[in-house]
Amino acid sequence: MTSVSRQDPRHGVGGKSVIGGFFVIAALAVAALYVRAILFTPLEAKQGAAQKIYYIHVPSAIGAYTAVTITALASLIYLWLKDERADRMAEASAEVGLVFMTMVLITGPLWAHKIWGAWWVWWDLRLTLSLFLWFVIVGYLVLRGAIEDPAMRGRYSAVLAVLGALLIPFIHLSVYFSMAHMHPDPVVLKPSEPSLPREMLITFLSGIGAFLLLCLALIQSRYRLSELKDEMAAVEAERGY
Amino acid sequence: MDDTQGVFRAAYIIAAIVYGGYAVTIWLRAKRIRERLSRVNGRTGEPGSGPAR
Amino acid sequence: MEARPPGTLSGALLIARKDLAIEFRTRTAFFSSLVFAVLALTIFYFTWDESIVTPNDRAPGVLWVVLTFSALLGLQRSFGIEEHDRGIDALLVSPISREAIYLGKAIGNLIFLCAVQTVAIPALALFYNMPVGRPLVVVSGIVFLAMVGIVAVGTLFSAMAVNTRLAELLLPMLSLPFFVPILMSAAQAAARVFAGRPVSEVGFLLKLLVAFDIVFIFACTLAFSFTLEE
Repeated sequence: MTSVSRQDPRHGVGGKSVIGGFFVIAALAVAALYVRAILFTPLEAKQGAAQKIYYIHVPSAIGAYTAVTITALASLIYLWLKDERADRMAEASAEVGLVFMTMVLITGPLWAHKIWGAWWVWWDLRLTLSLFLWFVIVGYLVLRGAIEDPAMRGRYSAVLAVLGALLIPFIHLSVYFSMAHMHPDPVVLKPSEPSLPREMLITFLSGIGAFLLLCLALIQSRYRLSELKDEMAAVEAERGY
Repeated sequence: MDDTQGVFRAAYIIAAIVYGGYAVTIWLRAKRIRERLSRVNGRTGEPGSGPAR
Repeated sequence: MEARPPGTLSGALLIARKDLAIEFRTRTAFFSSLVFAVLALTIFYFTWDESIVTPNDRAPGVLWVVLTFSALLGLQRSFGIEEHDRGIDALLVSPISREAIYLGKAIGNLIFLCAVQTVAIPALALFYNMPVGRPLVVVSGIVFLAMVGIVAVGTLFSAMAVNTRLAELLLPMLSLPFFVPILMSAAQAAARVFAGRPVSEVGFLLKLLVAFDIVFIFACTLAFSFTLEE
């Protein structure tokens, strides 16, 4: 992830495509997971095919949380060092996190409907937390879109990201303690057996691996896009547009 | 279990579309910026950044 | 004779007094909030069938809707009034510290909200035939704790939003997720107190509220300096 050379506008981001080798590997990993989950993993007795949603719901959540963690850390680094690369990373990671979080919010209700009979369950910690994190990320991206000065944009969004990270334990605890009485154990959506049989476990773990790769690959691609955008802005500023 | 196949297929298909589609939007946005960059550079006679490898 | 610059607290109080004096002159935000409160009370009263959901059950919900929206009204104003003549520059040049500016604005907002609630809560009790007594006093205390949190976060976001293109959209949009733990804890606690449960039962929710308030007052005071950096 190279820094953009401002001095010479002839050089784009080294002619590197935003979609690189890493992404291809990640995409293949996800495709392999699909094949394994659909064709080679047994159906769960009580929930049937719907349970297989688990293999993309949880990995999406892990990808989402990874991405927002990167945003929060990059934001802290930006506030401390004022390095614009950190700001670019925060932005890239946030957008990717939004995509993953959206998938959590889509797959969650699809699965919840089959096992709990309701599309939305407020006592499910992961779903509720994901919903409010989704709003924080949207707010973050809208805030960025509403500020033109890059320095102010970087500062403001970094502050929001750090505050958002601070918010997470409070949402977790307030959901847990206000919803606890509605459900025996405030849990996260998970298959009814306490532990997965070996075949399913392997699929599950490979799912996590594949989606983590996808998350990192997408962040890398999106970061390159940020570099391109900044380069464009620099060129336009130079020419007085 | 009624129609568990339905939600399962829906979820997997939506995931493929959303993640794949997002990658495509990144690629498209990059393409658009690269074109603008080469136009801007080309206007002043400087060689533009070459085609993406 | 050398004048010493005001300390943080006195600086804050100066600013709070200034803001409240401005608001007191026109009282527009205050009356808008009251009108909204009455409107909400009325609408919520008539939207449910009394035999199915008693007014007593609805009251807690109305309370928090009124609080949140009047808070947003007041918060919107809080830095909005500085926008007109770039009043914020005058504040920054003055010897008052940035922390004091933030705290002053926040205290002003809190007092504003208290004033609105002083009318809204009795109105609620009156129109919904709520038992006036210890539960109502406890709930007022819970409302106060919630207001502190709302004001802490809202004042910061008001300051940030006012500098952007989408100010009116951004303040509620950014605040919403942050209000959630406040409202969830406070509303659940208040509902249980209204239902006659002992205060000890809601102990943990109250502690969570207080923790939120303390953490975010510190965090937002710190964050405010970052947003004003030249």
